[in-house]
Amino acid sequence: MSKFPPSVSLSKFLVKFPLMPPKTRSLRTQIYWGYGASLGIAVVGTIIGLLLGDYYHSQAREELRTAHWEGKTLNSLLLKSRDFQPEREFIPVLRHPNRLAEAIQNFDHRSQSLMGLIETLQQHPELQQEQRLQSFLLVYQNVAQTYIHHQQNILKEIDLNLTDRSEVLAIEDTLTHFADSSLALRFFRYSEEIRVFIQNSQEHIEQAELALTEANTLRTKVILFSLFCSILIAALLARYTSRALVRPIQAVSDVAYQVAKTGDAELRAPVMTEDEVGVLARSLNQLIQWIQDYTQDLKEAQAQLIQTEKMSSLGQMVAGIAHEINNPVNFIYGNLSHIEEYSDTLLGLIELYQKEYPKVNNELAEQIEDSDLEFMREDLPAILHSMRMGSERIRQIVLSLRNFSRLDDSSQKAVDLHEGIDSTLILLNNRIKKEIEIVKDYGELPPVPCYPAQLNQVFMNLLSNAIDALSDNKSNPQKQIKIHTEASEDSAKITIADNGVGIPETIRSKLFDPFFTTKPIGKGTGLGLAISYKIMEKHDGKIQVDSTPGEGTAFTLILPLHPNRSGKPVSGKA
Amino acid sequence: MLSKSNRFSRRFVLQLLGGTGLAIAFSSCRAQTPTTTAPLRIGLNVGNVPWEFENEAGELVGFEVDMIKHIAEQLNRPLEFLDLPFIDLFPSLLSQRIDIAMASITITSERLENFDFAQPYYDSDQSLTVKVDSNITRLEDLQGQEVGVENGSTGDQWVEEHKEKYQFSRIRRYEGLPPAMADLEAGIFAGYISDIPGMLHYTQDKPLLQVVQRIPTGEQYSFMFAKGNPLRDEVNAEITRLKETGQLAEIHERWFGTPPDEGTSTVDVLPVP
Repeated sequence: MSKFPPSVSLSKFLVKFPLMPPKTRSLRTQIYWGYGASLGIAVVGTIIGLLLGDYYHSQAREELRTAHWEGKTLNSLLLKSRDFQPEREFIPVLRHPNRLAEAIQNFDHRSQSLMGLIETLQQHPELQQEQRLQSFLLVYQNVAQTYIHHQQNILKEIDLNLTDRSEVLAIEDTLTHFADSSLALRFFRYSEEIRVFIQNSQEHIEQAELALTEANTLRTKVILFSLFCSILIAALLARYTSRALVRPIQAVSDVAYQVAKTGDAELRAPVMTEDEVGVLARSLNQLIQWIQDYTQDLKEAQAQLIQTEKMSSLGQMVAGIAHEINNPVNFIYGNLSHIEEYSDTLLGLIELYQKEYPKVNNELAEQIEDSDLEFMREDLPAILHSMRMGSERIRQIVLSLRNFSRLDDSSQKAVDLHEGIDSTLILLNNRIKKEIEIVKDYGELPPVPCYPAQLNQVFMNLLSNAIDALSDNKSNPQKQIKIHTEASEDSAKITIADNGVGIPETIRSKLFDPFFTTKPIGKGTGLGLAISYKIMEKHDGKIQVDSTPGEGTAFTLILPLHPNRSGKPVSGKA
Repeated sequence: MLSKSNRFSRRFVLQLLGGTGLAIAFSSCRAQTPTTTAPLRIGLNVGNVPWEFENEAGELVGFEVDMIKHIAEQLNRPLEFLDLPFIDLFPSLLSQRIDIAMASITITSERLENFDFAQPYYDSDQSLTVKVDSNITRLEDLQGQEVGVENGSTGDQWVEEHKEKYQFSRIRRYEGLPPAMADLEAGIFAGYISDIPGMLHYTQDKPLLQVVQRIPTGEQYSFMFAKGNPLRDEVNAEITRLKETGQLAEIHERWFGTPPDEGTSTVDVLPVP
């Protein structure tokens, strides 16, 4: 049957909806990761920006430094090359040996430093990549070398102590010629070309400065970009979080509000995710389920309580009335024998009078004639007999009422169940029409331990249902209620069967549901069988139904003869 | 220095970081890749008749100007001319101020050390130019006299090499033909040693001057390039084409009045020196 104590239904519910911990990514983890990623990008981006910026910055600085150095060195080279002017250097000092020697020394020194500068430029690691400069320097080195070599050859031939005027003039001529020679001109022309490279180095400086600015810009942009990314991620995350959080929560709270407002316990919150909110939704659903179950149980308990209370009040009243009626009935019943005795004595006395005094006067004779003494003498015993019958019946009814209510039996005791059945039948006597035949097929029943008043209520419910079923069936000519009892070693079995309409298959499962009834409104409470079921449950007994539509229904009660032996305590609670 | 690889790596980093759009926004506009439509920068010595000089209308014309115009057209590149003294053509190629030097430049072994040449397109000799009213008819007459040359030219080299033999008193070096010719006419020096075709062309309409002697040197002219410049091969291929199509012969006829002789470098396709 579908009724379970609350604890049973709760455990069943727990099996169906286990409180499971979030299996997949929980919301918290997602938020952690999201904000971690966002922060990480910001930090990493900033670091990368700083590092990149620094890297390119230092690179640009290096480039700038090299470009400056290149420009400076090329400038020196150009200036140095311009100092080579043989006609001005040597001709004025030809007649001054010391100054001439100094000039020659100067020339050697300048030559060395010029060649040194060319070499420095050639060997600078950064400048070695500059194909153009290097190929120029290579040729220029050659040109300069040739020029210097020729000049040196001329200088070598000069005697420092020149005295002869013609010699001086010849040397002057040689020097002038050399200054005008193809070699010298080529050297000066090549030297002038250095300007182009100086200009280039200026461009390099500008480029390096631009690169420096770019490096700074790059740093700023990378940092800004990563910040933008992290803000974007944070924003998306916030959006996602609010959606992920708010939407399911909204759905859950909507359901909670609806349930609170309408009390519709059939509503369930949608379980959309497997995270904390999903758990919340599941928990809410469980809560609603429990409330639904508890509410149902409470309703049933309340209805049964009211019914029991009603029956209990009725029982008390019936018991009180029975007690009150019992005394006056006893006056009547107890004095009937005296009345019989006295009427017998009086009638004997009258007979004796008539025999002793047969001759009566007219007045007396008329009185006897009027009172119809002969009829009185015959009818009085019959009246007394019927009075005895009536009072005896009253006594029996009063006894049955007391038996049925059994107010004195609030605790369990072993009773004869046949007595309870009979008492119930007597109370139902007015409802058992003449066409209903009661067949008692009583077996040997030992006293059964029970709450007699409650069991009587079960008999009352089953018997009145049987009577109702038979009353409904107008076509059946032989209406019959069969009461069969038997006992086994462990249990007593009582079957109350009728040959009424039977119970359709479709409603058989609902028979014991509280408030289920097929009777018209006002006639049935829908609690009779539910309460009977509870009472049997309380007795550790069973109630079974066996019905064939059109042929009849049989309810079987099985009560244990030794209820405590099974170890189950008999609870006193309803 | 600011090598390309650095710039590319920077751009690459940016592309990695921010996608192409950002990279375009961030990238510098300095990255220049050489394109084939960049102008050909030609260094020449304007006034070097009949190779390159200004006509009466002020237009740059001449044998070599015609050649380079054809070549540039074929290579689909605009031209940019830079007028330089002859001697400056050499360092300018090294500093890459110019891509090609053309000024009836003779291919010499010394020049080949530092420069590349295309195949020759003209065979030439040196010459002696004097005033008509002088009594100089040959080199030997110049003993003890001053001579003039173009600074750094093969004429300069020839004079330098032969100054002992002919006992020139002095060598005057000029930059450009007009100032040299002005000095010659003024009698500042006695004889001018220079390439024969130019001098013949120049003296055509100069009644005071005449070419009196051809000095056989067996020189050949060509365009000069910086060493290793791939442009040399492109231009060389175009010179071959000019020879094969007869266009070079036409140019020769335009400037010298006669078609080139068979077997000369103006007609025959020759290997690069």
